[in-house]
Amino acid sequence: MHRMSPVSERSSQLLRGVLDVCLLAVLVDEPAYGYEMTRRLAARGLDVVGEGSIYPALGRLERGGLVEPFEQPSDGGPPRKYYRVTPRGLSALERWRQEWNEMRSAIDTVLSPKEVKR
Amino acid sequence: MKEVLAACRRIWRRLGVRRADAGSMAAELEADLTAAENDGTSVGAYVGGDLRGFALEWASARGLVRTRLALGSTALASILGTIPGAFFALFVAYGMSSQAFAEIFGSPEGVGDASVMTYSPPSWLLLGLYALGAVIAYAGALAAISAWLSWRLDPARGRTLRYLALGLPFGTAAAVFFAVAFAFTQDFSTQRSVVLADGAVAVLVFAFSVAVLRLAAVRQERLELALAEGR
Repeated sequence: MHRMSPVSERSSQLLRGVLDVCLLAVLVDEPAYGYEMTRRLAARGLDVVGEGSIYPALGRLERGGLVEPFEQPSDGGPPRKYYRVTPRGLSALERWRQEWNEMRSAIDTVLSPKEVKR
Repeated sequence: MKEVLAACRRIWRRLGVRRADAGSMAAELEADLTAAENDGTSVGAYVGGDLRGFALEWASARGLVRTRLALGSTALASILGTIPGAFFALFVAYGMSSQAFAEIFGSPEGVGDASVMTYSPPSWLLLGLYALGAVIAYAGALAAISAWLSWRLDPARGRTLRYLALGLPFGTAAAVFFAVAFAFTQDFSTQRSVVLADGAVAVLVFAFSVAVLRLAAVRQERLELALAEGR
C-alpha cells in the first residue's frame, strides 16, 4: 500500500479538517462541478486536492444541507452535476471563516519563535 | 476509466448502496474523470490509489451505506463454517470405532477361535476430541461469518463478531438441547429419517440463534449511528 511521507500525511490531515470550508468558499461566487472545484482550489494555491477527497466532503456538505446539487446540460454529453451554496451554507461559511481566523491566530502565536531566556 | 468506474460500482453494490444512487455517483465521477483526463490528469492521480477507501468514504459521507440485516446469509455462512468441526466430530464418533481404524491402531482380541483387532479409545480422549471438534466448529463459524461480512464491507461486522463470540456457545447449547429433546420424543430412534430430522433441528436452532445475534448487533449498530447523527 502506498504510504505518504510524514510531511504530506500531515498536510493531508490538515486539509481534511478544512476542506469543507474551502469547498464552500470556492462555490460562493459561482456553482461548480466536482473537477471544476479542484481547479479553483488549485488556482488559489491549494494544489493538494487529490485522492478523490473532495467527493466525501461534498457528500457531507450536501447531507448537511450546506450545498445543493442541480443538473446542467454539458457540451454534447449527458447533464453534469453542479453544486451551489445554500443560505445555510453561507451562514456556515461565515462562522467557519471566523473560527479559522481565530484558530490560525492562536496557532501562529504558539508557533512563532520566542526568545529563549538565558 | 471504465475499470475505475466498474470497480466503484462493485464496491457500492457490496456496501448495499441503492442502484440509482450508485448510478448517480458513477455518472458524476465519469464526467469529472473525463474533464480531468482532458486536462492531462490521470484517472489514478485523480481518485488516488485507495479506490476502495475512496468509494467507501464517499458513499458513507452521503449516508448511502446501509447496514443490512443479511440474516439468512449470515446464518448460512455460520453453518458452512461449522462443517469442518462437524466432520471432525463424525470421525471421532464413527471413524474411530470403525474396523479400519482398529486395524491400524487397535490390539488383537480373541473372539471364539479367531482373533480380531479392536480399538476402544479412553473416555478422556473421546471427550477431549469432541471438545476439540466443538472448538473447530466454533472458530469455523466465526471465521466464515467474518469473511462473509468482510467481503460485504459490512459496517456492523465487528459488533456482530463480538456478539457471536459471546452468544454462540449458548446457541450451540440450545441446538444440542433441542436435538436431544427431539430424539427423546422419537425414543432415540436410529432410523435414517429420524436421524436426519434430528440433525435438521440442530442446524435450524443453531442458525436461528446466529440470526438473533446478528439482528441484535445490527439494531445496536443502527441505534448508535442514529444517536451519533443526532437523529
